[in-house]
Amino acid sequence: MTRMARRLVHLVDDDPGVRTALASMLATWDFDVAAHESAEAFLDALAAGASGCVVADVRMPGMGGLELQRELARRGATLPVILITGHGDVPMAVAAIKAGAQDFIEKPVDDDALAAAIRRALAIAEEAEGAKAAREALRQRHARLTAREAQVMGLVVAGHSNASIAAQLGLSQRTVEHYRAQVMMKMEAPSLAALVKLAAALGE
Amino acid sequence: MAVATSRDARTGLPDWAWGILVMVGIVLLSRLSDIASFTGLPIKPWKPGAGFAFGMLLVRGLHLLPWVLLGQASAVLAASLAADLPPDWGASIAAGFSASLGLGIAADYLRRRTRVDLALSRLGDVLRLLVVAIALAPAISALEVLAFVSIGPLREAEAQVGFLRLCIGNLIGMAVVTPIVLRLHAPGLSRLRAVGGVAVLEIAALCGALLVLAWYIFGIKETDEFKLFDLLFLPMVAFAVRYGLDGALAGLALTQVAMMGWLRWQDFPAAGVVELQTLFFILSATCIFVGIVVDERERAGAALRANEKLLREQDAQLARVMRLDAIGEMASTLSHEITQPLTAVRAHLRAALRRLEAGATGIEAATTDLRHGVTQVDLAAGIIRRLREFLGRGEPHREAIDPLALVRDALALAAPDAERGGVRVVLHAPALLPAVLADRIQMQQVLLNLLRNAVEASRAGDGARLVSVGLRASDGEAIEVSVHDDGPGIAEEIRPRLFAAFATTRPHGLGLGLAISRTIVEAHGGRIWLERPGPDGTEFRFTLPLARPA
Repeated sequence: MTRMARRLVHLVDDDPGVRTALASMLATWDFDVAAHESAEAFLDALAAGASGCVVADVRMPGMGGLELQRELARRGATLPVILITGHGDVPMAVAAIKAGAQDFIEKPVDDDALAAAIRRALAIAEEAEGAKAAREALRQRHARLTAREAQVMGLVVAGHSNASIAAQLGLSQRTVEHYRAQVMMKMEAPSLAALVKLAAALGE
Repeated sequence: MAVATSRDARTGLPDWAWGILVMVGIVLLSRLSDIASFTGLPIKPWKPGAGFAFGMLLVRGLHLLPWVLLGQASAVLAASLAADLPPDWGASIAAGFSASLGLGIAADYLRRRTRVDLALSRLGDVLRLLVVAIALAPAISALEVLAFVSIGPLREAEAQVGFLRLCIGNLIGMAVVTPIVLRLHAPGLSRLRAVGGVAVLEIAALCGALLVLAWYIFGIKETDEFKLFDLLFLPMVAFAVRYGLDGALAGLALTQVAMMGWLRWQDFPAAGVVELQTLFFILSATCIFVGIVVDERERAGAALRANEKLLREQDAQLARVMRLDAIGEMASTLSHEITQPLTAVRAHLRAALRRLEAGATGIEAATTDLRHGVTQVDLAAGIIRRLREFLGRGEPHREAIDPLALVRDALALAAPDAERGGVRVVLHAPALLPAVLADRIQMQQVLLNLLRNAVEASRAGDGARLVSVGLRASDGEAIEVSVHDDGPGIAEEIRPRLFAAFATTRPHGLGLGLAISRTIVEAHGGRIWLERPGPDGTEFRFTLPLARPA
């Protein structure tokens, strides 16, 4: 995680005046702003595994902020979305929050509130990204196991003793002990309890 | 005897009281209509009692039948007594029984088998009634004659003459008296009962004409009753045309009484009375049909007018809703259009501020922010200018308009609102005012806005809920319009910016009404101001220049 990615804000607004102004203002809060003139343009430019958060106007020609948020969810993108609106009414705010919007800010935008919302969103995004990365690393470790080792790991985690595993697989107990040591090493598990936890995380 | 004890909800009379009323009515009518009868027997060509009994059986039900029997029998007895003859009990009861049996069967048939409306509101109802009367009259007359011949004193040789007399008597009774009973019983105000003013004079004149004619035709021995009878059609048709069925029935009753009075006075031969009654039946049928056709046309016309009024109201409501919708739409667009540059300006100002606070290195970027901010402010100003042009709608379509018509139109549009709020709106204006030069639709907007404000204020206050609109010529160059209400007045703090946009005390108002009104009035070269702020009455006034200044 670079510092830059942590502070990246995707600003989506069709009004060039508002877009320029918000970009300039957010820059003074030390955010890195990537401005887009429409939701469609933003989605086109969106790379897989993009990070940061999205600040989008609700009312835009073509795809509006609410639809953009739904589209992001549909694509499995984890970017938190903050919506800005000129006429914030309660039903729209409720709909936005229900659809998973991180926050809902009214125009004219209070920059303190917006900055706070962005920081919260980025923290959440970072946390989500961290969890995602950890799961990926674990999967890679598991992939290093041979077929036999994976088989043995499954039985160990299920609570079988070495003798039981040996009988089931038609191996000697020594061989089972060897596989078991390999599993503990490759999975970087310091104890049997830790291995069980890792297996549970893998299964998610 | 079946004496029911139920009470009538409308009159509160118990059934036995109705019964006695029917019985006494039959006897009285029979005595009053004693003309050209066979000595001692109520065999006469004028039998309003039968029509009365038939009408009562129709409206009150068959349980009155025993009372009808009693009434008819008593009438026969009374006739004997009046002629100083010994009472013939058998003949009385037989005659009463046969008459009430016939009437009862006919009434039952009409009530149950036909869907006759007893209020006689349609031509078909009267037709049914008359057809039944024409069929019934010979039947009950035959039964009565049979009773008198077989039990009573009537000789067989007299049976045919007696039958004819009874027949025409019963027929006219049912054609004239029965409809009167039905109409008196019908719910709602009859047209005769609802008349007043000039109509009273007209009715008096018509009645006078009828009585004079009746005297001329029947009261003077030299004139031929049969040749002149048709003269009666003139006032009678006038009655029917002017006052419908009720008028026709009242006129017929009057004519019948007058005719019989004069005939009796000059001892007219009985055979002649029978013939005159036949003519009278034709007169009755004609007038009743004319009356009911007139009624139907009147009702159709009233329904049409009610429909038109409804449509007009709906139109006005639609126009109002559309106008409100347009204002709402405009307000929404306006708020979006203005919010955009406002958002940009605020962001640029905050950015500039933060850059300058951060130190000298930010000056260049801060300058750019401020420059952008100025551009955005200009943008917002442009939007507002466009809006004002839109509201002023450039050059309005001005024409010379009668200010009174203008105000009346606006009053008509505001009337439903006022009615709903229980507010009375009155107009004070001279009959003749010079024309003003104005855009009709825009002026309607101004007037309607002032009126609606006034009505709403009146409703909110605890005054008499009176809005008065005044029109007067002011100094020969303009017309001054005033709208006064007795509402709670205008709060002190609102007054200075009363005509500014969004100055409203109402929870649902936009506060654009007076602002738009001022724009329009001033575009017309007029002036609008608050003459009295309340609380003892609020009054707005505005002026409109004359089309041709004096």
